[in-house]
Amino acid sequence: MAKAAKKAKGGAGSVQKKGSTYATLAILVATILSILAPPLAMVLLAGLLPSLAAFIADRQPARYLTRTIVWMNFAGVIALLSGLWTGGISFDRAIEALSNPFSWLLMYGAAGIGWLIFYSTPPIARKMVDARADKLQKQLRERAKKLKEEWGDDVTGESR
Amino acid sequence: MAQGEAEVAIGPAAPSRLAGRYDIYPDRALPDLRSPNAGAFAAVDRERPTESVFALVCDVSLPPRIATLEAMKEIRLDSIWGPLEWGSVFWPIAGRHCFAIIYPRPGGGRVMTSLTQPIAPINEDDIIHFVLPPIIVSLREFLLADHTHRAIRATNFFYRDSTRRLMTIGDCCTAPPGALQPAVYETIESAMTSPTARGKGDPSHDLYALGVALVHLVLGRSPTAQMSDSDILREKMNRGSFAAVMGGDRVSLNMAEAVRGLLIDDPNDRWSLQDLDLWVQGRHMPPRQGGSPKRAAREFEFNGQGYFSVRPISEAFTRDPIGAARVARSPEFEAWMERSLQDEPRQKALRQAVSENQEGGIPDDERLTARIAIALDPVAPIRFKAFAAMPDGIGTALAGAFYGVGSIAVISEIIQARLAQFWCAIQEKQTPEYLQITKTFEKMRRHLDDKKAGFGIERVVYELNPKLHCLSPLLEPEYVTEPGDLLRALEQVLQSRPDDLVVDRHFAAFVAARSRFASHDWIEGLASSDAAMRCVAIVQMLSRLQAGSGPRAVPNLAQRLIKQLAPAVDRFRHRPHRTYIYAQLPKIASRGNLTEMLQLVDNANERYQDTAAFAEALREYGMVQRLLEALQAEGPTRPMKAAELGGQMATVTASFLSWVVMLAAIVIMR
Repeated sequence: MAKAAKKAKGGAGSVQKKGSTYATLAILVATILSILAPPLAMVLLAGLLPSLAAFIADRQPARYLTRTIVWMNFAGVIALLSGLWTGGISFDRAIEALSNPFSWLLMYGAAGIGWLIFYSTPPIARKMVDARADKLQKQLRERAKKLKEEWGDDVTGESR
Repeated sequence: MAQGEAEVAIGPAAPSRLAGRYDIYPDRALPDLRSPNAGAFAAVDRERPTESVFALVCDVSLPPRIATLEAMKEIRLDSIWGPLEWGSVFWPIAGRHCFAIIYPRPGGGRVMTSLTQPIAPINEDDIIHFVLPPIIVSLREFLLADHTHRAIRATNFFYRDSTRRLMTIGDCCTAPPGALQPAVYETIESAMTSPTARGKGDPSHDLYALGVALVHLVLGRSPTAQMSDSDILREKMNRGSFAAVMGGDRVSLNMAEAVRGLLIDDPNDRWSLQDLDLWVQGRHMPPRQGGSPKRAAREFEFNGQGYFSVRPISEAFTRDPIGAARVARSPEFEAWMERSLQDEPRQKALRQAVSENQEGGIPDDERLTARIAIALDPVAPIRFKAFAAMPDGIGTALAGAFYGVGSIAVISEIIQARLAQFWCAIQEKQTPEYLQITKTFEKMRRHLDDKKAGFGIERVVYELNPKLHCLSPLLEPEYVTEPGDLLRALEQVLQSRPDDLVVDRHFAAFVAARSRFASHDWIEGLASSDAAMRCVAIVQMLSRLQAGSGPRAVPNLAQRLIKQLAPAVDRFRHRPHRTYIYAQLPKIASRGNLTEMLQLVDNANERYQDTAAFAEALREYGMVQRLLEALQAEGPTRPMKAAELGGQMATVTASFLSWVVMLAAIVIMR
C-alpha cells in the first residue's frame, strides 16, 4: 500500500517535472524566437493562447487535455505560420494574418477540435475497457465451468 | 453279487460322472458297502464297463484323506481297498458337490455288520493261514509308504470273494485318521482323544486295532459291545487293554499270545508287524512285559479321591481345571511328587508347565491345567476344555469344527496357548516330526494373531489341512480343493445366482494358503478401510488366479466385478476418463479377462498422470478465481482507467493530426 502510494506520488511528481520542463523549453524557444524572429513569436504567442489556457486549467497529473490541445493548437498555428514563412517574415504580414478572422478560426478552431477530441475519447475508451473486461470475465468463467465439468467440485478445493 | 450286498433303488436319477470316466448312480445305493461317513453307490467304469466298481460318496462334515488316497494309488494292495479314482462330483441327492472315491467292488460282503450283532466265529486257523498273511503283506506296503490306515476294525473287513475265506480291509480315506474308530479299537491315548483329532498316529496304532479286530473275529462278537466308550477307556486304564478288550472271554493260548502282544499298552513294547508275521509263521514270541507306571508310596487326595500315579490324577485334573491349577501350585503337590512319587522327569516337566504358563499374558487356570496334564502324562493327548487332541490331529479337528463337530474357539485357544509346542517339547523322545509340528504351530499362532482377511483361524484351517476344500459359503457346495478350480466354480455359481460376489475371509484364506503367488500384496488391500483399495485387491487376487491357472475367460465373474468396481474407478478425478473406463468395462467384461480389467482400473501410470493433472487443474482453477475476483475488484476504478485510456487516445489522435498538418504545411511551403 505504502509502496503503491509512493509509486503514485512518484508518478505524479515525474509528470509535473516533465510538464515544467516542457514549459521551460517553451519559454526558452519563445525567448529565442522573439529575439530572432519577433513577428513569428508574436503570431505564435497569440495563436497558442488556448494551449496556455488549457495548461492552466488542466489539473490532471498526466495533462492529457493540455497535450491534446497543444498538439491541435500547434497544428493550426503551424498552418498559419507556413503562410508567413513562404511570403516573408515581417510585422506587417504578421499583423495582417492576425487581422484575418479566418486565422483565428484556424488556430483556435484547431484548439477547439483538440478539446472535442479530448472529451469524445473517454466514452469510447470506457466502452473498450468494459468490453475487454467482459470478454475476459466470460472466458474465465467458461474455463472455470469446464474445469468443474472435468474434475468435479473437488477442483474448487472446497471439499478438501 | 455277494450275500447281503443288494442294490437299493431309490428312483431314477442321472448318473454323476467322476473324472470323465466313472458314472456313479445315485439311485442305486449299496448299503452293505457304505462307510459310517460315506454312502456306497453303484458305479460304472466307462472305459472298462466289465470292471466291477462302486463309489463311496462322503458326507461333507469331515475332510477326506486325499494325501493318503494319492499314496495308496501308487501301491499295489491286495488286502486293503485301493482307490481307483477320487474327486468331487455333483451329487443330486445332496444337491451339491460331494467328494467321491471309486473302489473295486469286493467279491464278498461285509464280515461283521455291527459290533452289537454277533456273527459266526472265524476259525483261528483260517485267520492264521488265510486272513492274516495277505493283510500283513498289504499293511507292510502301506506302512512303508509312511501312511497309517487308522480304520482297521472288524466292521470294516470284507470278504474278497464268494468263498468267504480271504478278507480285505475296507476304506480308510473318507474321514480323518481314526475318526470313525470305536474307542475299543483305539489305544488308551487315542481313545482319550476326540475322534476327529486323533491324528495320523503310527503303525503301532494299526497293529493295536488289528489285535482288537482279531479278538472280535475269533469270538464272533465284541465283548465290550454294550459298554460306553468312556467305560471302555476306564477299563483299559484300570485293567490294561488286553483284559479290557477280552472282557471275560477267552481265546486259544496261541491266539491270546498274538492278541496280548498287539494290545500291549506301551507302544514301545507292542508287537510290530514283523513280530506278527513271525507269529503267523509259527514262531512263538516271548511275552513282553511293559514297564508299569510309577506308583507313589502314599496317595494324593484330589477332590475327595486318592491317586497313586500320574495318569489318573492328570485325568482328574482335566475334569476340574480351576481346582487342579490351585493344587498344582501348592507345595503339597510338589512335595508328593518329590517324596512319594519320586519321578524326576515328571517333576521337571511340571515345573516347566507352571513357569511357562506365567510367561507373558495373564495366567489362565485352564491353560495351566492343560500344561500340567501334558507334563504329568506326556503321551496322552492335549486336553483342554473337554476337548482332547493329538498335535497332528488339531488340523482335522478344526476342519470338523467348521462343520459343527467341535468348537473352533477351543482349538483357537489351544493354538494361542502354544499347547501343541509344549506337548512336543515335553516328549521323552524328540523326533524331527515334533520339530516340524512346533514350527508349524508357531506359524499358525502368527496367522491366528493376524486379524486381516487371508489370515486368522480360516487361514489356519487351510494350512493345517492342505487338501481341504474352500469353505466360503458361496463356494462350499462346489467342493473346490484346488485354487485352479476356484474361478471355474465361481463362474458357474454366478451364472445362476444373482447376488454380488463376496470375497469373504474363507475365500481369501483359501487363496492365500493354496496359491503360489510371488506376493500377497492384495491381502493388505483387502484389509484396507478404503473401499477402492478393497475392490482393487479383489480384482488383483482373482486376476492372479486367472493368470496362474485359468480359465482364460470368466465373463460372469467380470460382470459381477463391474458392479463392485465403482469406488476404484472413482479414484480417477478426471471425469471424462472415468466415463471412458465405465464405457470400456463392459467390453472387457464380455471378454472375461480380469488382468485387462485390472489394468484399466488400476493403471499406476494413468493414476499418476491423473493426480498430476488434477493438481494442475486445482492450481488453474484457483488462478481463474483470483482473476475473476480481480476483475470484480477493478470495477470501481474502471472509469478512471477509461479516462486514462481516453486521455491517451486523445493525445495520440491529436498528435497524429498535428503531424499530418505539419507535413502538409511543409509540402505546401515547398
